[in-house]
Amino acid sequence: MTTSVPLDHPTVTEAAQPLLSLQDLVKHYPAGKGKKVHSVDGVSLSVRQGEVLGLVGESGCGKSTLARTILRAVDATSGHIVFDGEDITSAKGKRLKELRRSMQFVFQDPYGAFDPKMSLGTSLEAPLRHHGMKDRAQRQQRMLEMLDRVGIEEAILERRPAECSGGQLQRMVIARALLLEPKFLICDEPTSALDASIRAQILNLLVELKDQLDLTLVLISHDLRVVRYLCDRVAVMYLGKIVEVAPRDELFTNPRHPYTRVLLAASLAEQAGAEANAMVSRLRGEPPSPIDVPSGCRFHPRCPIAQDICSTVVPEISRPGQDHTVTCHFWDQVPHPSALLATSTRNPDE
Amino acid sequence: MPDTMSTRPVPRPNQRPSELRSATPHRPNVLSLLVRGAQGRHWTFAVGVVLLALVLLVLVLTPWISPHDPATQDLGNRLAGPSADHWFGTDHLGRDVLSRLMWGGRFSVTIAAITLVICAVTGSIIGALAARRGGWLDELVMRSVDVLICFPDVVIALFLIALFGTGYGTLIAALTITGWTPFARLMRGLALEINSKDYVEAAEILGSPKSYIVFRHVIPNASRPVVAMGFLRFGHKLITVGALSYLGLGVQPPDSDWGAMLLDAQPYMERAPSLGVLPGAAIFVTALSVTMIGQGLDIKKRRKRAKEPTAIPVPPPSTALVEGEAL
Repeated sequence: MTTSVPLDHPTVTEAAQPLLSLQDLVKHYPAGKGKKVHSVDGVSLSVRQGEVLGLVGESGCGKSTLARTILRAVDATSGHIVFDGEDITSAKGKRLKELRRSMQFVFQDPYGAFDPKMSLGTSLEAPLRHHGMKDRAQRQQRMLEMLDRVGIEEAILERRPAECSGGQLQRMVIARALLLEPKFLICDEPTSALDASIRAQILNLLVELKDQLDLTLVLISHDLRVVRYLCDRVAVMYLGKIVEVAPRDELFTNPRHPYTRVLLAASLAEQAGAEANAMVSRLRGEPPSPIDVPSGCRFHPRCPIAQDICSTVVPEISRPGQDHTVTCHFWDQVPHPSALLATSTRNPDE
Repeated sequence: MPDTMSTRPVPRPNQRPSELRSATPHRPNVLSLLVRGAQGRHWTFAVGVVLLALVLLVLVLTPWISPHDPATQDLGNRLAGPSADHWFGTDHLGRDVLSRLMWGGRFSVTIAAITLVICAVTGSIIGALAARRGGWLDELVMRSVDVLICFPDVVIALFLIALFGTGYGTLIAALTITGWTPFARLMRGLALEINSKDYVEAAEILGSPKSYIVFRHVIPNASRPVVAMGFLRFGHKLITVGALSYLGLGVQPPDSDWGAMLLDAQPYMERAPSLGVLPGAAIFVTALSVTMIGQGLDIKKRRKRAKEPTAIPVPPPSTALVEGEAL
């Protein structure tokens, strides 16, 4: 696997200040009978100014909940969210409203992100009005500017969501998020609901806007190709916890956590055209329920290299390389993903 | 690796050919709206609309088309049968029954409609706010609904009328006190569902105020079932107004409505049964027409499946509406 993707956006250097830093962030939901859903369970992570951080993991591992907690759409159970040097974990009222301008969200499902009863123009204009832009002409101008940036014509403002395509709507979601001039944008699987032919357009649009508007991006995805294509750093999440964080190239060439490796192997298998069950045979069973999380290392029931200690002792954070953290007892003994890919004989890039 | 990923597109997005089709805005008139609305709905909708339109037409035109003054007595011509002058005969004071039906209907329908609108608006707002705020407010609202639903609205009306005397204000207030509860309950359920939609979350993340979310997102998106419920409840309101008038607590003489006419007719059931049958039928037809519209709005006509010539089953009314019934 060589680099088939041109890499023309600069990797952010170590020196950049974190724009967002999460300290032991926890979000539990009540699950009845005194039990809790451990959606986000002690996440510490920082996002640097100007970078694109990829957040990958299986569905249900808490990626979206993490995003919603950071954006203060839901309240954190414990831990801290520090944004731009300020603890925003329990920001309220006016402060929270100001915060809304600086961090925004791109939804996974563009069809559901707009009120079906409202014209897109009304949907787009509302946030401007709510953030004190009183002059109608000014709002209009701002909207047109943004439509131009995302490459959509003005006529769409008259329409309702049902009259638009998924690609158009996703551009509109992005436009709406950027209207308030945020510096931080979380994109929750921005392309997974779209046709394959539209995906690249939307991703390229995001990269372009990021450069033009000086954004910091968190890109949630379960598609490793997207992450490899766009991100500077990648965080891998498993069952409410971050298991590995590394710069993109480092993660893809030298993954340390067995879960990361299985994910990569699965991705390789897919590209190589091998049976998808190559992954299933490696990853035993379904992800455990986030209500009854496994003891010790959460990954141990499915881990190909688990040993006794894994089921009892929670692994510490190790640093296999500069800017590379991994949470595994045996990070230095994990076989490489290509070795895991026993069923595939073809080289994906030939 | 698929093509979409491996080629890095160069063109700026605003240079792409437009994805837009040409928009064709058109403002349909009321009639075509009605016809469009009837298409794809249960047949009861169309029948109800026609019936109600007839009733309303007659009631609106009453001042011009009613053959006699409804209060003019003609004691020499009491309890007469149908004739060219009095199509539906005369009542126990020799008043023209047709005219009284027309004028009385104006009271019945107006009071029921006013009450219903107040109930629907307040109930919806209360329900939506309860769902939005949750916590103690939600608890308070829902427990109040539970309590109020235990009392038949006629009982509450009797109580209020005993306190404040008869009058249209009291009547409307009495019917509203219990009348908002099914709307609140329905709206709360709908709002809870709508609150979990992405566009509501988007509005929150975009910093829209709660009131905007409730009034511009939640309530408009819940409007369809609430309107259907409004139509379904109208018949009930009409009957309750009639019942109170029948008990002598609603519309007061010399005004009259269908309920009061029933009351007047009671002593003459044997000699002139039409005196009771006619206002009863008027209540029945009006209530039926509105309820049919409500049913039609509530029930989506099942689309005929191409290869199944079997009869289309009529689905039962949704349980959400049945649940709200106070009876």
